[in-house]
Amino acid sequence: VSATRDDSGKAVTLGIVNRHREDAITTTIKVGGSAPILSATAHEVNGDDPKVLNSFDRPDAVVVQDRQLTASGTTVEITLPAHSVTVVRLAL
Amino acid sequence: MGTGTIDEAQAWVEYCNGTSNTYWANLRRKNGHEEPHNVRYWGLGNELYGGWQLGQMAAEDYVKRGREYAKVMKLTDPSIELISCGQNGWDDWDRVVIDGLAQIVDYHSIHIYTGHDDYYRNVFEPHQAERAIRVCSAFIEQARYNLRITRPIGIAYDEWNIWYRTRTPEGRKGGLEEQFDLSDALAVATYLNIFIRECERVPIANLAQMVNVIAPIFTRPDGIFLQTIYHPLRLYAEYAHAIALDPPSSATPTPCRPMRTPGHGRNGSRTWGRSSCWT
Repeated sequence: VSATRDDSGKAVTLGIVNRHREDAITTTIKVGGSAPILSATAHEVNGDDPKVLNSFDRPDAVVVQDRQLTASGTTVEITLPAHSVTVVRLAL
Repeated sequence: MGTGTIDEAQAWVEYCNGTSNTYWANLRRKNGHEEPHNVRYWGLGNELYGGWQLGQMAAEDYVKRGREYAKVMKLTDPSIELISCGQNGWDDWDRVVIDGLAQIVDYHSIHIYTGHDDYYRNVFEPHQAERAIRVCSAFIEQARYNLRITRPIGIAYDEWNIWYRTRTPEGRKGGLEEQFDLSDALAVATYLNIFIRECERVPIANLAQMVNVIAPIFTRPDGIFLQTIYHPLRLYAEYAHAIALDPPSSATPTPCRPMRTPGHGRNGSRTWGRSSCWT
């Protein structure tokens, strides 16, 4: 896991790797302080299985899929699928 | 430094950064660049510990030569920042070089590539590089203490990636165009997380190759495709911010499968040891 923020403290980005080969992980992200999460966006890198690769024949076997998450106050729940990288952007 | 001379090193700095009426600065102007290029970072040689380099030398000899190169380069342009040539961060070479050159360099370079056909080994190996970073940083701190150096000296992790398929003598016969799978993208994201967490110790980290050779972008005359590792690189480049946080986690550490105990790989490189890590 890594976390960064901008100078204003209103934009936070998390980088999360779920390296479990079979299992998804559902977890809760909680930001400190009282500022609620106004929006949460997940950018997920994943593919059918860990050995899949991109090629001229199949350039989109591994791509990024974007989705909105539903935040609740200062927390947001997220499910990280097996063998995935997820970059989560929070606006506070 | 391997095949070059101290005169060439001086000439390069003068050609790139010189502002006076001197031979090499004038040659740059004649070549169409009136203003200096202002090259700020200069590495003192590349992988000179390695048998694959022309001019391979012992660490003690590298320190002696490096000090003289550094002297003349700094005399030519005192504003440049020098990078000593390290190995993997925690080798004897690193300790000798850091002790010998800490007084004149601003960064110490390390190169580590990881990668393995076994899934869990592949995705966890970057944590062994993180250990090397911490040991290297301890070498640096010890040298700063012993030599009373008040300015910081950072690690320049200026070659890193996943690389194992095209690394062996047989594997590289077809070229160095590593084909990255999804597990490699996970390992790359793990490296990026490490660089964010270790940003105080590692102010510089970069891929050495961008296209085709051990690289995120694959091209041929009629087109390109983006390798798996391109995607985490793009996401972190676009969305990571300038200030690193230290997020506490209530998760328990995931025990890794034990790896083979240290031995020697085909190129005499050490294989990585056993590991237990945070996700």
